Amino acid sequence: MKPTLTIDEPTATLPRLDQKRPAVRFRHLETVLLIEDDHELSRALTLRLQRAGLVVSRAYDGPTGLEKFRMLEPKVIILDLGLPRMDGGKFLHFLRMTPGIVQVPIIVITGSSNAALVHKAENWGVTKILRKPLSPRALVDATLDAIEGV
Amino acid sequence: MSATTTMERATLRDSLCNDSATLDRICHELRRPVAVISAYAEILADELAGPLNAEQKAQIAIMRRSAARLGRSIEDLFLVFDGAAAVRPPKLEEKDLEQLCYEVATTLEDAFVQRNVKLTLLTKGPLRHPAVDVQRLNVALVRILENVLAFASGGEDVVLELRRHGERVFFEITDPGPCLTKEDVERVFDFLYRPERNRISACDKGGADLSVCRVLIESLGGRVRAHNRAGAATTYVLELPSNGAEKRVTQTTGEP
Repeated sequence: MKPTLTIDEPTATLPRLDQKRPAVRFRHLETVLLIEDDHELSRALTLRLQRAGLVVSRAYDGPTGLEKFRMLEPKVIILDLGLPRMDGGKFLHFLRMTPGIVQVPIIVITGSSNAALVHKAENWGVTKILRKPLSPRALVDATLDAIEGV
Repeated sequence: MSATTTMERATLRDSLCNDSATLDRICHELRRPVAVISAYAEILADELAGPLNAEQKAQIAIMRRSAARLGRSIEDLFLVFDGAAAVRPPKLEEKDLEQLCYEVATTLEDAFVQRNVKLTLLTKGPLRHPAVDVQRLNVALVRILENVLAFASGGEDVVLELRRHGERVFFEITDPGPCLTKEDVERVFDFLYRPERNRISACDKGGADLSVCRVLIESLGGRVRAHNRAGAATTYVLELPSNGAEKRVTQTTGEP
């Protein structure tokens, strides 16, 4: 039997939600800033991002992340919400509310189920929220999408 | 037992029952190592750390499945305890339930195609519900359909039917897989209950499974049940108060 998905009624008025990802991407070397306090996870994600041809700068807390952001002007920030010294929420607030700071796409990665926290992050205009445990491959896709402005 | 220990236990119990932040912290701590294990297992499986032989690939696949199972159990624990404790109120919004069924089916379309199982939506057109928690209902429906799919052998038809009857809205899902026993049918939505077919099958994904559906649907004022006749397909029924849900009247340009 040929596998199909059928809708009895109404017929094809509803949009398809899934979109296929392009198989090949062309890009220049871009720098991304990964701010994640778990060193082991940070290392795994870095490895994957580097294999995708990205230059990765790492920070393990909020203030260091801000410092590196100012120095490197990355194309994308990958931000954990639960950071020491300055959590991801404060980091986002600072970045979005400080005049003169160039706005870059931010991908939030979080292990929290706190809907209020995630909602707050959405309100700060993050590009994507990925929940832990996350696939490094999915993070690469999201990062490349952000760089390409998809 | 000392008074202090008793007090600490009572405090912990109260925290778990009344404070979703405590539960969130526990789940967050559990997710961290799972995230690390999953990430490195994916890197190894994709041979970024060097080529693997067939046996190594098989072993890493087992690691990944186990990590996914653990991750699912953590999510389920959060959903069940959070929902059961009713800490977080439902996020109610207006939604066309037919559209929601379509979104659920689309989420699972690839999985159904891969397993050569046909999924049919049976509706009587758009059904606008004025106040439903879309995420909770979505999770409940996806969970049941995933469960049905896990036990399908290929070539079957699965039907998701949406209908309104009086003041209730019904989602009915047929399960053409191995028949559930009488006890299974009665207990399939119980917390951590494993039907016989789960225990003898490699399809069991772990987690709290269908008890999540019960918690989510009951948090919306609904109820869940399953039924079957001897030897026949099982049907899962999710039932919600309609709250005045109605068919949307669409303008037509045809003849009056």
